[in-house]
Amino acid sequence: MTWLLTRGRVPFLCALLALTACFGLQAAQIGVERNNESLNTRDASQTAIYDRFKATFGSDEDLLLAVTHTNLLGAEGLALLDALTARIAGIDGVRRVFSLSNAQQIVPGESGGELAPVVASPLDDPGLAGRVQAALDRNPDLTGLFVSADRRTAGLLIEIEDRQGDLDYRAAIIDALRGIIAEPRAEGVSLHLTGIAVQKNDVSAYIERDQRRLIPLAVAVLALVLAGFFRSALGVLLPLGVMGVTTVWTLGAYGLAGFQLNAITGLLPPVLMVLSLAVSVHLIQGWLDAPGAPGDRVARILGVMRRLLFPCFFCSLTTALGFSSLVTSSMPAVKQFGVFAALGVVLAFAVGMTLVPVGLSFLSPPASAPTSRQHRLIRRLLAASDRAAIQHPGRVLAVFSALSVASLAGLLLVHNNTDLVRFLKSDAPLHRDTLFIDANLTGANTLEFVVARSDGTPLTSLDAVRRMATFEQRVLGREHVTGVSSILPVLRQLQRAESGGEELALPANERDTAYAFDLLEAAPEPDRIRKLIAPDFTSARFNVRIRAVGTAIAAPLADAILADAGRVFGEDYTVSATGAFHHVAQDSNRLVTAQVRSFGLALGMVVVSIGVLFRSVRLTFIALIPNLMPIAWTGGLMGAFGIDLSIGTAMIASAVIGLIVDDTIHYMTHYTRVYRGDPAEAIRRTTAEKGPALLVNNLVLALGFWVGCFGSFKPTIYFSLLSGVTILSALLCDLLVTPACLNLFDRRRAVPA
Amino acid sequence: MSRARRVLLVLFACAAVAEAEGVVPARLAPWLDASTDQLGSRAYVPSPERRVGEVRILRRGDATVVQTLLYSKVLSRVVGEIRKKELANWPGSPDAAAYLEALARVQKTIWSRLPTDRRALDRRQKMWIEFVLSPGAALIAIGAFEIDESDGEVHVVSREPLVVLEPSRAYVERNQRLIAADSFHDGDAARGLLPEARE
Repeated sequence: MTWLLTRGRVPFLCALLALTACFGLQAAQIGVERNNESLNTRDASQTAIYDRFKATFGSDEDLLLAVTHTNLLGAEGLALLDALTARIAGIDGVRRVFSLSNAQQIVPGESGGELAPVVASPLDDPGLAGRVQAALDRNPDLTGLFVSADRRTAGLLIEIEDRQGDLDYRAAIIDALRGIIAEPRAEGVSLHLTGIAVQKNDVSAYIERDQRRLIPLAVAVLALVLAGFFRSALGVLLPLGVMGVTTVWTLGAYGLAGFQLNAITGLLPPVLMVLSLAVSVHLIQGWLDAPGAPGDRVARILGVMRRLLFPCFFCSLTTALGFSSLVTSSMPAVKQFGVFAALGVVLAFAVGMTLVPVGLSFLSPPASAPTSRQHRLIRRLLAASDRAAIQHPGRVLAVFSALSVASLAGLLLVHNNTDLVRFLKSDAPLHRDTLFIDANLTGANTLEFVVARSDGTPLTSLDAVRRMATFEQRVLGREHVTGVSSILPVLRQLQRAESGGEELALPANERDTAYAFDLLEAAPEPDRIRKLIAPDFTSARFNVRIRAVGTAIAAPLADAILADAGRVFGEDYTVSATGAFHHVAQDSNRLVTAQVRSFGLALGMVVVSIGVLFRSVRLTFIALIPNLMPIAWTGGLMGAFGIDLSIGTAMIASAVIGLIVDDTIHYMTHYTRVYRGDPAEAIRRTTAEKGPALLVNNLVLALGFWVGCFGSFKPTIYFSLLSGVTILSALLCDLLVTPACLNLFDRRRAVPA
Repeated sequence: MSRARRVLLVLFACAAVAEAEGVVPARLAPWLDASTDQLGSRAYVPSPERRVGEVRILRRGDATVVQTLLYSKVLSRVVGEIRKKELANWPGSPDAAAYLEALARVQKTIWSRLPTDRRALDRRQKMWIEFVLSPGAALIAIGAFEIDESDGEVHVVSREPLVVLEPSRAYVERNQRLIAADSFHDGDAARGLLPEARE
């Protein structure tokens, strides 16, 4: 080490720069994930069902463009619809566009039912509006998806191609559609766009925007806090240097591993910046406070390192363990976040423990410890806290325990909910458009159900059709369901046309049912039918449109529909739920289990680490109290303020436990070192000597996390906000509860005099 | 094959023969005997990929036969298409009206015999139509048939005439040409197999 601080300094710095340049090149090439793939769990059975669904019925990632017009069924409105349908169908990557303007109805013909357009040319025919109105009345299944009940809003269902490996065509389609939407229109005409592909596109765009916004903001905030605390260039530049190297190396490794940034790992850069400061802050503070002759640079640095190496190592270890517990998550994005945040902590320790001493070796040590003037307020606060802990430890513990019990009650109010639309801020175009479509046209979310016979035979019997009709009615009777698309409306239209009747009804006997399927088999436009039923009729799709609700409502709704299906179809049939939105709902359902598992793992690893460090059950127990309390408080806050448990907020406990325990380790390590049989004196010294570093470190952490509040996604905003709150709560606990416990459970008190 | 099934088959064959005897006048029977048929040309309709039937030009003794074999699950639709063309080609023709009425009747008969269970192996409705033209006869026969499929080809294994019509010679002759022109891509070659039109 002495060599590193003397002759090895320049080679070390050169090597560090070279490595940083290499990793920097990798980091600069990290792209943003375009398809949100890493936000989906790797559940083999769920994925297999979804893949089979897409292979049979095509992608369920259709876009929906709503067109509102004051005279929609008049010549102008229909001409607009017609023009938009043709224009959008011509966009590269769009497979088909279904709208009122090209919708077909089945009407009686010379030899049975035949297809006829709902909107027949010429569009300026004065009687057309009446005929379209009549066709809509005759075919109620068109209302909802293609036209609103008030006949003022029409829907254009845009089916896009599924181009494997092409990550840009979706964005190009959405840009083209948004370009159309932005064109000037007559008064009373408005266009709105939604769909899973829009969500994916917008999420990618927001991640890129957040990177541009959050990284400079994090650097600025951290630099300001460091400048405010250390009031020297050294106190700013050295930690920022460690921060830069750590962040670049970790992101370089992330890029080398072949990952791209997603909504969760988009937080990595600011979080890494925050995490990489702790070691530097403690070392610099220790160096400034260290006794010793000003001329003996190397000895002074080595002394500080010897004193801080062990606690810093354990702090880094516990923080890394906390983050690494996220690998138990089944969601790749969370796993990646946990692994690379843990790697960042390890790298920050290594870089901090080398770069900071090397940097300090260039400087002359201060002639005396920093004057108390710059920390007067801090020292007053610290003095007040140690007085409370020394004089009223029981009261302190009682108050904090009461708060924790109250928080546990709030914790029960926390809901498990993922709402992809409301994850975005209310002024986001997708948020606004989706809620408009939800209110004015049809439910913006869809759940997909696939019905098949257990023996794999076709669903072409009268019994199968009747069961499907019963199922359809049960689904339509459910709250939040706005419509169901399936083969049944087609069969009804067909039967009406074949029988020459007026009423929509399903085939009434086995022969008619079989013939209806024969007709479907010979349908002139099979593509439309293939989106509803498999070519061999062995599986049928039920596309259930529901309101723009979160998974807290959608997941139990899907379960209830599946239970209905079980009762309606019985054991001879299989019914499975799938689709992109159902995937999200299932993932959200697993959050609580994943949360408990990863937090349990993190807590277990932290307890073992503390146990190894202190080799005392009593001290390990004391160390746990001030760290579990803030997590309980945060849970209570979430319940009280109605913040849902979602992808972001579910990570808080696991990620933060390893971080907040660091303060306890620093505090208790120092306490045990200065303890000479008098807990009050040891507490006084520990709070005075470690308190300032803990304060600044936690302030840096909290402010660093709060930078994430300027992001675009509510889960990451809540993650940042609540992590910061938990860190500050933990600081409070470490300055009051930890000393109170150490005082109250002092080993000499336990032994009668 | 079980004994009961053999008995049933024999009974079915007897019934078919009895019905055919009732439908086909004895003097026309030689022109409906397919045992000496020689295939001249064949085309799938509407295309080899999505075939619902085929048109064959045959030599049967001194007769030229344009035979249409239809095997479709939606025979009514195919008959509907024939109807449209027939009405366009023969507006107001009593021969065409009789032909269309006979087509509809046979289609319904075949439909009524179809198994109700769609999971039956073969739900195709099979109808044959022959326009027969010889120096001594001009007739149209319509009926049902059974097939055997091997190597992607349809082989007629039994035929049951259900209607025999004797329209004008000109009607049969022109319809033979219209059908050939409509079905064969190489219309000239197909028409070459047909007898010269009499002016």
